[in-house]
Amino acid sequence: MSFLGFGNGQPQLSSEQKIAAAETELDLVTDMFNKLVDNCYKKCISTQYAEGTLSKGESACLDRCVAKYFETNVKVGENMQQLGQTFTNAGKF
Amino acid sequence: MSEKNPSTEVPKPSAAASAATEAAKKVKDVKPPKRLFANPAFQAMGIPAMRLPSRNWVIFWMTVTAAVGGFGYDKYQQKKIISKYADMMKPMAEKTMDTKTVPRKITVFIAPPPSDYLETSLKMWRRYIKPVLFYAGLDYDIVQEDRQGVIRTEVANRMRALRKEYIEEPKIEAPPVTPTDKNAELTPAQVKELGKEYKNNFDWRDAIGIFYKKDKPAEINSEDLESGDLSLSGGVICLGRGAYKEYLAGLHEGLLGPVDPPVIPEEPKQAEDAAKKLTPHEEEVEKEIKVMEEQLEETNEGPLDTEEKPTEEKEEKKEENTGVLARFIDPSEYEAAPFPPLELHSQGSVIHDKQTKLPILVNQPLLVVSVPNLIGFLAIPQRIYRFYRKRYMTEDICSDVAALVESSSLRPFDAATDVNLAKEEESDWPSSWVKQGRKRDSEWTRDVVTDPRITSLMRVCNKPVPVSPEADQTANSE
Repeated sequence: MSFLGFGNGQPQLSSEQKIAAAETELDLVTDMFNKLVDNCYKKCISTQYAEGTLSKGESACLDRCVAKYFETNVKVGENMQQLGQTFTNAGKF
Repeated sequence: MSEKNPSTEVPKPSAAASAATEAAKKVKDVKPPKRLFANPAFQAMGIPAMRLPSRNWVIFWMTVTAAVGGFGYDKYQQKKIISKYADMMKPMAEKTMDTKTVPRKITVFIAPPPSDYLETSLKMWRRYIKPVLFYAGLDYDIVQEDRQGVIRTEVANRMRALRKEYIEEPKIEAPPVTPTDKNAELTPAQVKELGKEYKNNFDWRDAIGIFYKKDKPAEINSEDLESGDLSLSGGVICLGRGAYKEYLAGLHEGLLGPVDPPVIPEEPKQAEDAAKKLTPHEEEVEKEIKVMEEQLEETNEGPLDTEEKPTEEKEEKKEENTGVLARFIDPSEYEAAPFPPLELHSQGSVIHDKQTKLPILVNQPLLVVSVPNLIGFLAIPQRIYRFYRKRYMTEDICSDVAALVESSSLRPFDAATDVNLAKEEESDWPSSWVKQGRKRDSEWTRDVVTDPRITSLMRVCNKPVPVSPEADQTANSE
């Protein structure tokens, strides 16, 4: 354990904690995926269903939408991580 | 008062005068009768007489109406034109497409007009080009620049990457370093390496559940491959004369130039350094060296070596920061360069990308769209004129983009006239900017140098450029 920032920075995680962390991560990814599906569906697929298969315009739109969503997500994630690091580091001596 | 005191007759005339002035004042204060519009028929119906606005108000309202109405009409026409082309394209997007194919991809190069922001060009892209592409169900890849040379570097890098792939074909990659003992502690460097590898190979499709039970598609192909005629695949749009010039330069540089950055001969460099030592800038140089030495922690080099390296490294760093690389080949060397380069010999007149199996940028149909952008105070009348006639520009651009999408009017690149595509834009460039560009040997103000071996691969779908005396001149200068 670290006392006032002395000692090792990261506490050792027990396997239960690790599993919990993995679960939250999975939740995050699933959540993101569901949101992505929702948003891109709303954006790209018209409510007048003429055919069972995707049309060319729809699939092109979906491609772009998904790519954009992922890219944004990754970028935001990276920035958040950086913010978090600076935040935790700022608390230490 | 005067009746009571007849003796006071003297002030009488003055009183009369004051009365007269008062009367005059009254006359002055009386407003002219309101101009009323009365019609017996209206009055019979009970509609009261209407007041008409004064002359000045009439002028004011007429001017405002004309200005706003003209703008509104222009906008309305623009919308009509865009929706006309969108409707034309719609049937293409309504075709069904297999999930294992990706739509045709148009590469768009966007450069800002001189002395203005990128937003100006982006607006043109968003308003007139993107809707047409969107309704045609096409994919697009945008390369935009905020400083000169980015597009050239990008195009050249793509060409070089392609050539590198062909060069490295026979090589088999060495198996990645795997730790022999799993329990053994990994060095930080190894951990970093593993992390990098993981990141490179990371596929989002693995992280998401869809392909948990179903297999991932083995390969994803472009629809162009299915359509049969490969010469109609892809497409390039250059937005702005500068983007077009850089695109041409990039193609030549990437295909004719060396794959690796040329090594700058050392001798003149040393001479320069020697010259520098004599100058009073020594202090600065020393400061630079100190900074660089801190950065060069890993390498232990003698003081003599480090004296030369800092400047070179600094230059490289600058290039990395701006994303612009120096030219690998000078336009004057085009003729001497061998083409096709050794690695592309097997390709013939259509060079294919190795991964997508599609023709590369050179072979894709090209469309150049000019970005008319006048700036300056004195140009205001001309700007107003253009502002109210944007519908004609819209029609031009949309029809060109539609032609690119349909690949209907493709023609081989004519080196004599087609280097002047969108040249009319150059008359809009501020003269001071052009002067400065000439001084700094800017890529935009330089003459376009083309090589017939490259241009023979290209195809354009712009309308043919009318031959002007100027065009003849450039053709002769080549």
